[in-house]
Amino acid sequence: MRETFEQRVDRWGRAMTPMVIAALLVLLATARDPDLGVSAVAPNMALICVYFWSAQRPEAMSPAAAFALGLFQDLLTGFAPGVNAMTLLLAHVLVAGQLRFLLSQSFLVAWCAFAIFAIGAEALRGGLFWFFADRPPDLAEAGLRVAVTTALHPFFAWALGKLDGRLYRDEA
Amino acid sequence: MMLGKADIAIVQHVRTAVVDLSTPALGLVTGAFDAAETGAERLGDLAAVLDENAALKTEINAMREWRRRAINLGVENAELRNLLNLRPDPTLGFVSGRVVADRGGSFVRSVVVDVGDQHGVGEDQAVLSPEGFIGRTVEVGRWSSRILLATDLNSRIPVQIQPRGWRGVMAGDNSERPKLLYLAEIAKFEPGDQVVTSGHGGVFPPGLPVGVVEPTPDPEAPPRIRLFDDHGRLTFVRIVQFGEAKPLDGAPGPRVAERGSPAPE
Repeated sequence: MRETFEQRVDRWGRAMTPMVIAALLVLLATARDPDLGVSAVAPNMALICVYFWSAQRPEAMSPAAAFALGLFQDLLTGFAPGVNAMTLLLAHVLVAGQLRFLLSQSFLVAWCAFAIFAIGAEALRGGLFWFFADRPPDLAEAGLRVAVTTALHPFFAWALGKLDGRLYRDEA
Repeated sequence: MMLGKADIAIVQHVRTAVVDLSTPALGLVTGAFDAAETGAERLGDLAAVLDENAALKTEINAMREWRRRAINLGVENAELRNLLNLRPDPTLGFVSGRVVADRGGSFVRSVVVDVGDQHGVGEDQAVLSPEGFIGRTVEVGRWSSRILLATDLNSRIPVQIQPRGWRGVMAGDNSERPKLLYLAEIAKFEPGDQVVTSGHGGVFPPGLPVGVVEPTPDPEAPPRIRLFDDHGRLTFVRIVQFGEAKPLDGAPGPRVAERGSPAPE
């Protein structure tokens, strides 16, 4: 049976929603933080989204989508274009390669795996920056970012999981 | 990354377009954060309102006195310039903007404000916070602009050490204290000497407050500058339009005597 226009729009909307959510979370992380005495280091929301969607819904986070998300983050934050794009692309490739292992583990193991991804992503980002800018990154701030990102991962993984369940309920 | 290095203009246009499109959303988020911040501040302020009121009244009285002196000095300055037949320096106009994004971290020291060329902002304009100079505009879109902070490693600002007037270049290196380079070998200065923009090159107006010289433990290392605004929390900034003469807000225009006529009282 041929797909109707509404079905096509519905399918397209569901396919785009993860990217739109990820882009909005990147915007949120980029916005000026309130001066409420909390840490000024923003979590790496793009990595959280790429990690989740690459593991849970690979068709919703293709390599091109991960790259585009990273490029969007680069352009918004003033990074040299490609730094975050390459980092997220590599993260997507590694998650896709370890999919079977990650999906068969408990949440705690998956969380520890995410922490390793966060450390690797920060190291890659810092290394690329060091290579092009000839200046080492601030290790203390990098460590804090990894800690904040890892600490927030369970909350956003739960929220994205709920969203994923609602988006793809018909396929269950 | 290679494309970014090979053709900066294309990358800048694309980046400016992306930031322009994102600025309304960033403004909404920042507005929500500001509302939360204001609520928290008001709760704290309630406790100290009486003491703060008294302190503010004292400060207002002192500022009224300074305003009166500034107006008198402005009049006297205009008269003296007229006597010397000096070409007047261009005075400053300002565009105020709100910071909506500032999350480059230690990699990129830049912020985005919600004013662009529609509001009169141009590239390479000096940017001030309430405390002093903080950076310059580097990318300007229709509704947004990116400001490269003075602490960024790509920032180079011509400055002058007061009161002796030694000129140098303030060079950011992604640390909190930019370096002071290209000083004359015979330059003599003391820790605590004020640093202002020199106006060398005609890009920035001279005399904008930047910071103070800090002592360095290593005598061979270049001195560093502690910026007047170094707390890293920018909310509103002013972008300096360096060009046409504009009167100061609230000040009457100076009375300028004609050559050969009695000086005004």
